[in-house]
Amino acid sequence: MMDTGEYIALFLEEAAEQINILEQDILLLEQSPSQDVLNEIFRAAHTLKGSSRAMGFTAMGELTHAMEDVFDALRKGEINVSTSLVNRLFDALDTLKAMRDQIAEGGTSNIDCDELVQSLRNALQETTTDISAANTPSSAQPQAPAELVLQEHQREAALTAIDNGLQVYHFTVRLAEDTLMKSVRALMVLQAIDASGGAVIASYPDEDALDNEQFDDSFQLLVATDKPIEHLRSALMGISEIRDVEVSPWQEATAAVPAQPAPRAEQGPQKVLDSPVAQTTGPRPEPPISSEGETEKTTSRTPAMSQTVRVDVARLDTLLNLVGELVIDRTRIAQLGREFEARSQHDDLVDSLLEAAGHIGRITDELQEHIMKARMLPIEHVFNRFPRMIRDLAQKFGKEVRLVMEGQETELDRSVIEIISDPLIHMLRNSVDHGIEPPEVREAAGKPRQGTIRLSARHEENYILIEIEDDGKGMDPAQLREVAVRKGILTRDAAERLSDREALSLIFAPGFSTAKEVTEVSGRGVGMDIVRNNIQRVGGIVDIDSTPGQGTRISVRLPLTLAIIRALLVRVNGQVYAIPLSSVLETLKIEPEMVQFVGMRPTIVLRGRTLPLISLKAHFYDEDFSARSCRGEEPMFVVVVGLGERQVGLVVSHLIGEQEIVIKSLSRYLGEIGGVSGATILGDGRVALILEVADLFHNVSARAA
Amino acid sequence: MSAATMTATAERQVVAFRLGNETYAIDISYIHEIIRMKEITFVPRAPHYMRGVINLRGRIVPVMSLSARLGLPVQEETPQSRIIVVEVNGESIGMIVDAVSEVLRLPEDHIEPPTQMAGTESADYISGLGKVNDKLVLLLDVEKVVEQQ
Repeated sequence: MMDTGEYIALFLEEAAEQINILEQDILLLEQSPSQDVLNEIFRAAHTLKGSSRAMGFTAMGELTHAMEDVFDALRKGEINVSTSLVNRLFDALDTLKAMRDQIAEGGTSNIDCDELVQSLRNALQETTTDISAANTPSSAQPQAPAELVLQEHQREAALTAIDNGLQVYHFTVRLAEDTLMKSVRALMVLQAIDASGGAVIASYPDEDALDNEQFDDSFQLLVATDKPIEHLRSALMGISEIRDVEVSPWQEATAAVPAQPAPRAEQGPQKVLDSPVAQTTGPRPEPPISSEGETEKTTSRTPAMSQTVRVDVARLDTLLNLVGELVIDRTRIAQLGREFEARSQHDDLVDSLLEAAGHIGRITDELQEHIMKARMLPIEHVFNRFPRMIRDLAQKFGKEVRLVMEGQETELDRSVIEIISDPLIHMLRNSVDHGIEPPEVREAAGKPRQGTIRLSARHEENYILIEIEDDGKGMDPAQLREVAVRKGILTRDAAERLSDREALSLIFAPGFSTAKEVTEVSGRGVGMDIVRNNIQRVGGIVDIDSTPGQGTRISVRLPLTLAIIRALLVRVNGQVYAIPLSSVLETLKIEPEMVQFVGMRPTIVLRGRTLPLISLKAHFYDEDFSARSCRGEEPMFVVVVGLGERQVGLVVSHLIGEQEIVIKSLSRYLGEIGGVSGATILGDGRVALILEVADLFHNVSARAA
Repeated sequence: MSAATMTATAERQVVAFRLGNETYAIDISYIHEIIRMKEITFVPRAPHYMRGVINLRGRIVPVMSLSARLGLPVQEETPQSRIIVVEVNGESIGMIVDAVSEVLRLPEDHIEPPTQMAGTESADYISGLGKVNDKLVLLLDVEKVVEQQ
């Protein structure tokens, strides 16, 4: 009994991992069963069965055992994948999750799963006579495809790509047997490769033949890319009616000796990557090219042995805090150095101090960078659960939805990951519920029955950009204006004045929901306004774009980390404030007489546009910012900050400069401070408050209303 | 010494300090440290008794004027003024006091319930009255003091 606490922690973690694998693979199973997936899923169930039995959680062991039997039967081709079977497996998986959570909370689980076990056992009895092609491993298919023979210019192109550091892969794409419009699928494959960062060098049959459907069930492609191969593969597997995509790294030898398809047809794609033949027969000593994709594959699934260690998140947080301290002290030392320098012209000691300070600065920067990296997680930690969620939602609403995910490997700080999860769930739910139309409606509108939601993530400068795009019914600005007026959010006048783009942003207004009826899923009171607030709270930006009848795209821009940011330091009423540089557009120096008052609101005209002003002094210190107080003789400084489409000018007394700051939260004993998101410690040891730009915008809107 | 006498002489260690002319005390277990006055960064729109935040060796700690919190007249800052940093529910908060006098040992049987305080503005925050050498010491209920209403 002594050590069970520790073992339980390990067990729980491992169980979570296996459950995760099961979830992903059951989905894959439904979409495109392959022997690889079946093997992996069987292993996961087997591992979980073993460990839960070892820990004495017999019910859990029993349930995983039943699942394992089902996977084994699937693997052997004794039964077939069906929606009802997948639903049963998902039920079992949900029960496993619940059991795991119970154990995590109280050390035991009392969930009864006899019924589930029985239902899984029954599934085993329901043997089918028809072992369809979908269930048979690809190797059993006797269609050994004709070989892709490269023309000289294509071979040149492939070699040049390799010389340029790209990787070249040989794809064999197999369509489902009953595919109706094969040329369309082929076109979609080509487009998907293009969209995922691949370039098609050659195809067999050639593109004209593909267009004219002059091929059987499979075709081959030679693709150059700098993206991880899994990325491309999963993009292709996301296309419906694609039964299988086989990928192997291309080498010159492969093309030169056309009699080689045999091993590829027999082994799974992964095997080919492993194969020493594929690596040694190549005339170029460049095994890393082929092994890189393989490493990525193995690390993402089976944990590599000695290459990684598990670290408690709290420890990483402590490390980051310590580095934060160091960043502050670095700034402090640099400042002291400059002060000494100013005092004594030529002093060797001062020079040494400055040199040491510079060195500490560089080391600190590097340390900071590495620790930040250690805290990064690929966004797939959030994305992982979406395929299942979308599947369940689509079933519930009677819609057909395909979720395409891109850029799962994009990394961002775990603190950001935690915050982005709920808003994404909400937006995806909206897409399924309100965006994608029912299949019949789609057909009537000349669209494919199945709607597509594309969820992508990628880095862009210092941001991560997440986009959710659907090909549903889109939003009509006119209708949004109408609803806003009806709900009393805007006056008719104000609504008419909105541009179409601004009208789309109305969905973020509090109390706005266009759904005709409140559904269980989307209409539970947390609206898009909460989504936007959550995103803005961490310095992110949401943007929306929609074309009626064609779909909607929501873009979310998030900072890579929340711990350390660049900020513009300004002085207001003798005190220093930090404005996150991510929201600063520009700074201006204005003369008091440039300020005009529109109603009670001070504004200036900047390049032909009116820019509302907020005096931080008035805002924070309740001082009057009126025509009279503006008539001082001194020029004023304005920091123009932007939030989406909107801009506002913050009036400050002085601009100090740009600096990297470590964000610290304010004690809850201070209460919610409107317009302030946290605090930071400056190089001189003093505290500066960090402005929350989104809050200030609310302030403007509130006054405008 | 028998267990019985131990119980009889059980005492509380408190830090006594001055607000105006009165002596208050805080149970020593709450006290994180006592520091001299230092630069306080004003936090706009915080509760009126909050003076702002200080940098306590890299941590940002809010500081309140205890006099303002208790509804007492706020004294000018003097060289004797101190910030008592207490830790309540895992979070630190500083309290400005006019002077810190001493650490006292208050026998439990010298502490009375604050019934005679009833009616005064600070009564809500007093958990007991202690008597030391004819001097009256008001024991603060720290948790009530730091919580916002």
